[in-house]
Amino acid sequence: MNRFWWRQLGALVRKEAQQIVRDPSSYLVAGVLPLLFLFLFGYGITLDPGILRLAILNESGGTSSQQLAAAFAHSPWFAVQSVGSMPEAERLMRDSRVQGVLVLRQDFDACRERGAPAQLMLIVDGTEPNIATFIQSYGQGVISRWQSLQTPGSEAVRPAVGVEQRFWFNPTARSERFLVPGAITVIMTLIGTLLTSLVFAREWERGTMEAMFATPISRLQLLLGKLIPYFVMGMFSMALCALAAVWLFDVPFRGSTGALLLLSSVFMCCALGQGLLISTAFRTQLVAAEAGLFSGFLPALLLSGFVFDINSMPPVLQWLTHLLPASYFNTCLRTLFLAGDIWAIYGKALFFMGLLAAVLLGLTYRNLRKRLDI
Amino acid sequence: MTGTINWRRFAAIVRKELFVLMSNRVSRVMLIVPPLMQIVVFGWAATLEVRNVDVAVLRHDAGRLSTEVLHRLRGSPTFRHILFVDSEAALRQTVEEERALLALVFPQDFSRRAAAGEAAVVQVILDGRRSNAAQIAAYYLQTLLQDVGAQTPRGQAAATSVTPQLQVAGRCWFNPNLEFQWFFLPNLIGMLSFMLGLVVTGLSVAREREVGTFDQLLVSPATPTEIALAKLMPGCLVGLAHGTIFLLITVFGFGVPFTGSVCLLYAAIFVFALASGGVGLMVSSLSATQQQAFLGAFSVGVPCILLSGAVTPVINMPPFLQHASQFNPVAHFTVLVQGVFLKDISLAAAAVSLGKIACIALVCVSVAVWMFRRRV
Amino acid sequence: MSARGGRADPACAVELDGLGMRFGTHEALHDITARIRAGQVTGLMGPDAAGKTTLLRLMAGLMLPTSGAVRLLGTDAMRLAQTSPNSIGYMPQRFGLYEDLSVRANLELHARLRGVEGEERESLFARLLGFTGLAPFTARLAGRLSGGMKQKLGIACALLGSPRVLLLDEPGVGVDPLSRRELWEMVMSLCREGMTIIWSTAYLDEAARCPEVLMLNEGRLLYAGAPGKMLERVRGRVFALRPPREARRAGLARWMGMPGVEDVVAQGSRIRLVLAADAPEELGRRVCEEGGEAVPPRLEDAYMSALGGMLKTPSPYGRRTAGEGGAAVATGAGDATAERIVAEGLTKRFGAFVAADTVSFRVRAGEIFGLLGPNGAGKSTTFRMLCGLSRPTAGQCRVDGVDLLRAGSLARARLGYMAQKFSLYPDISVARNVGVFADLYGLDRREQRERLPRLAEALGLAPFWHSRTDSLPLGQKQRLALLCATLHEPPVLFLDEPTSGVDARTRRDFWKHILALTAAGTAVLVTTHFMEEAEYCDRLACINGGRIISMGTPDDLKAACARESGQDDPTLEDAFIACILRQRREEGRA
Repeated sequence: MNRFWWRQLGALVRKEAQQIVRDPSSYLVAGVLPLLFLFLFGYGITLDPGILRLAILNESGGTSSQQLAAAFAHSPWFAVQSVGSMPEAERLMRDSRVQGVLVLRQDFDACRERGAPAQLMLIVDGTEPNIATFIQSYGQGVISRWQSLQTPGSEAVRPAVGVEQRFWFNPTARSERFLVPGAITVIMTLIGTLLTSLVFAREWERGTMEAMFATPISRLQLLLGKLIPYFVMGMFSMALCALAAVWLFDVPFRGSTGALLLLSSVFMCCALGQGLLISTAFRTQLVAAEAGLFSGFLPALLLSGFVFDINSMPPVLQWLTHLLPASYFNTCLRTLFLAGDIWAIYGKALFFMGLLAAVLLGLTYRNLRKRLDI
Repeated sequence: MTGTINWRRFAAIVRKELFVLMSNRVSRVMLIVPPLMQIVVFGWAATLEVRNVDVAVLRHDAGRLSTEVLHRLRGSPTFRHILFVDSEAALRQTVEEERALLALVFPQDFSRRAAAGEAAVVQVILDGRRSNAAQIAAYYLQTLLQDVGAQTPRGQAAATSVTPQLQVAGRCWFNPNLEFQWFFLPNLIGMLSFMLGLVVTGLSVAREREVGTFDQLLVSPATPTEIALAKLMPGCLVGLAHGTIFLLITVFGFGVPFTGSVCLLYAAIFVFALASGGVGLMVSSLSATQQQAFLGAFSVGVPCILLSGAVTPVINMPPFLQHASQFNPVAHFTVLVQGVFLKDISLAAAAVSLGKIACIALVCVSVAVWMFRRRV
Repeated sequence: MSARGGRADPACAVELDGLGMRFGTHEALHDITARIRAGQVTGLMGPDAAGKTTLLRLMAGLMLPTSGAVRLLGTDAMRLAQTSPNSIGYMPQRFGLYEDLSVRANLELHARLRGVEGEERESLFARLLGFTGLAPFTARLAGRLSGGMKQKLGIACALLGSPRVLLLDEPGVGVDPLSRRELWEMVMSLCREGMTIIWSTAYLDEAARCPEVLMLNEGRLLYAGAPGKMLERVRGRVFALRPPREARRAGLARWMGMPGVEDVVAQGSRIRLVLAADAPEELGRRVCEEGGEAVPPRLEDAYMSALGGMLKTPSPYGRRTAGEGGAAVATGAGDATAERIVAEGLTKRFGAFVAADTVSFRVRAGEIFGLLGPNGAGKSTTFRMLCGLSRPTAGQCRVDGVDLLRAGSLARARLGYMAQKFSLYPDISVARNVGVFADLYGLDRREQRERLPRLAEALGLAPFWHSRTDSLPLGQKQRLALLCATLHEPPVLFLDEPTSGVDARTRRDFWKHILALTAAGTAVLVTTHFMEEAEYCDRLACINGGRIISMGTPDDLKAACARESGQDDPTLEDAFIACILRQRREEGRA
């Protein structure tokens, strides 16, 4: 590999870079899509309950029941709406205008005065199970707090076995804190796989590959000539995403920049390897794009542990996630942003991602025969 | 333009679209692989329920009560492994390396205090990197600890001494056991047929334009309106076919109840498929190459799906996104399909959503036809 | 087989020894043995799918032959491509340019890849840019260049390593005659410097200029040697007839059907005939009786003869109106006054750029009207406006009396359109493609059942009827496109460079059908780069800079050229080039 070899490589890299710069879709994929995705996962998708909408059907109407209703109205979690009858409440539920109904029976106040157990009913809309669970547990919370305030010896309500709960790394337990780093994984996969899956296919379709084959370049140069510019582009997007995550979405950055650089380089090689492999395997753009979407984007979105927890999946899929570079990278990024450098996690991830990158790029190299007859 | 539609020409283009769709290997794969993949992943795997939780335990107390807690943990289906650690440092490391989602620290006096009738407190440490799963796991843990607590002297005393003042009866309508799949599988119909409609319709125009067949169509007597409407049909048929398959799988395979009217569901799928095809048509009428159409469909499709309420509820989103979702056909369809499956939605409410979807379809198709004419 | 010289023959640049190439079950090349001389242009000709591209790729070392050997400059081609890649220059069929990069960037890329650096590079660039005339356009994107300029850039890129052997794959396709002529001069000057050039082409006038040619057919070598020698085979069998103007079409059709005639082609008002070697004596007599005179043969005559003459199957078109040619002409003449295409002041502006400037002409029933012009002259814009694919900024166009702008659908039902690029649905079967267009044009089922099989049979498409459309050979695709465009028997037919890249034999066959259609009264508008094709036209309009610069019959144009330049018997190509140059001169003066 003498100077001439490097110059040839330089020429290829420069050509690819010029093409990237001229292609509007590369700006879309490298600049606009990352920000769009961060935005979607930062604002649009949230696993936290927002304001929960509750209808209160107060059939009793006494002081006590009104106090309880007021307790719900004043709680930060609920937006409360009074309804006059059960059918009305039911209609609101069916049309998804409220997510739950609190029913205070006619005899509620009477029972309270008598000291008898008062009946109340909390109905939740089960169509969105996550929200339903939140209403149940928050509703219970409001009720018990109100109850303890009513009872003179509030000591009595403290449970026998209490829980002192603490979140490490993410004290307020906000979901965008871990969704945003996860989104970066998806974005990087997208850039690495979707964009590069088209590059060789495009050259085949336009007939430029044949012209390249007729020049004295080797296939290693051909491969590196594609790899380097897209690598730089991916790292640029990575930086963009990291900055946006920290500044726009208030995600802490507790790890070191060096680790981020190292991890994302190795991951980028994996993603690019996958994209280029697809690209050498299919010679039409459309098929290549499809393959990129189904083998890159969807698994990264669904199986990387980004939204759906890996441990909760059935064993077969859990095993499958081990073959997915995105799942390693996702773990690393969450740690890097929220927890700080933990090299035990990085080490394992680097090893497996490196292995996958080597396999993918090796296969790409093998596929890139400098001949037309195969 | 005469304005009227010649149905023979329309039928000819529809037939051709179907032939092309079925003879092209890529599009055949596209029709089969993503639905299968999604049904496998969603129907069976991806869930916001939490299972297989690993717990780290630092036990400064070897008493009866903490043993009881551990015993129950082992018996619970939610928790998988219990990793015993012997120091704060080891505990920290276990959580940091994500070997456990949560950690329990039993203080030295845990069992003793409980036995003495005092309140015992256990410390729970949750991994905030997976705060959602951790929160849910913590909720399970709390229920478990409450049960344990009820058997302690203090718990038993509380049960007898405190007169029950409130009896809260919890009910879940529409989905009594809060099955995640009941929520997600009906939504999947919308997500999937939107993406398919977008890609099938959108790419077909871009492809025809690249191959040159679009000119051949445009010089034929067929009008742009006929071409546009005919282009929507394959998407609709595919949407209906997929809808049927999904309906059968969700109802018979996964036991999701179907409370509403089948006719309403099919009407909804049909109108929705028109809308998604319309969006696809609009995207592709604005793009020059297949690559642009593909990226365009992708950049429109993914946000529409993620912000539709099919993944997380619309009302949890910031207000401006809630307003924006009025223009999102998937959002209206999600409301409809959930209503039809689980809630037996009222006809009036359904009509409102259907009307909105139809409006979106109309606008998109008009824009596409206008673009076709303008390019001419 | 010109030179079966020894292996060490320094005059021999390429040696092919029993070369064979097989793709799966398809045999692309079979036992080719030939020597190609150094320092001259060797033409590689043959019909579509003859194996020209495969042979060039083998020579460029891009493929490994299944049997036999290719040696360039005494070394195995693949070895040479590895050890001394700069000694081979190769331009693939679509030029292999990065269209989204500038001219300069394309050149720089190839220069760097071939290790041409520093001052050497700058001087080479200067020379190549001057040589190709691309110097003023270095900053322009390659995709924005005209066909002819792309061509030159492609060659310039291939020349960057200063190769000793230059392989050009169909450099003349889609390029106007002016650019083709410039290209040829470029190549000749390269030869004078000692370069060996192999030029594959479907244009026989190009091949005829080469000192030696190789002719391939279906993967076999039919002829190798000087084109002059090939001419000897047909000498004395080529005649020119000069029938009266109105009888020319009928004459063409009549001779085409006659046994013993290998080739019939229109040349302005003349008809050129090639008789078979075993033609009956009386045929020769009859030719003489009708005023036929023996003319010197051209390579095309020899080529057609070598392939066994034109296809004899009669055209299915035009028969419903008339049993034989004579009657058809009568019908055509009957409504000859009917103006089928009317263009009035057609203008198209893209911003400040005027692509077409008040173009006006009329085409009568049964007439073939040709639009000629260099790349980017506004030919395509005019054409697209006339068939409703582009909306004129000003002006009117009527098709068969119907205003295209007001009643688009109605007007479009009256026209047939054949695009330059094959544009039918590639994934579905031939039958379905035809069915779609039959339905679109409103043929009812009974009509479809009766006519389609008959047409398919007559056009030789029956064996392919149920196969995928993209699996068809180029010639069959051409016929299928014609079939789809004429299913509804349109009174007006639009053809956009209908036979570019197609070999002479397929082209003959194609024009046979077109002539049959016009005999039945169809008006045809055709754009072409190809003078052979222009010869079939009744009238021609030369377009340059968006305006019609001259209009008339082919003979008128030739006569005008002869008057101006004093050339004796100029070809249509000469006339066309003279037209363009005259306009450029006038513009220069203005």
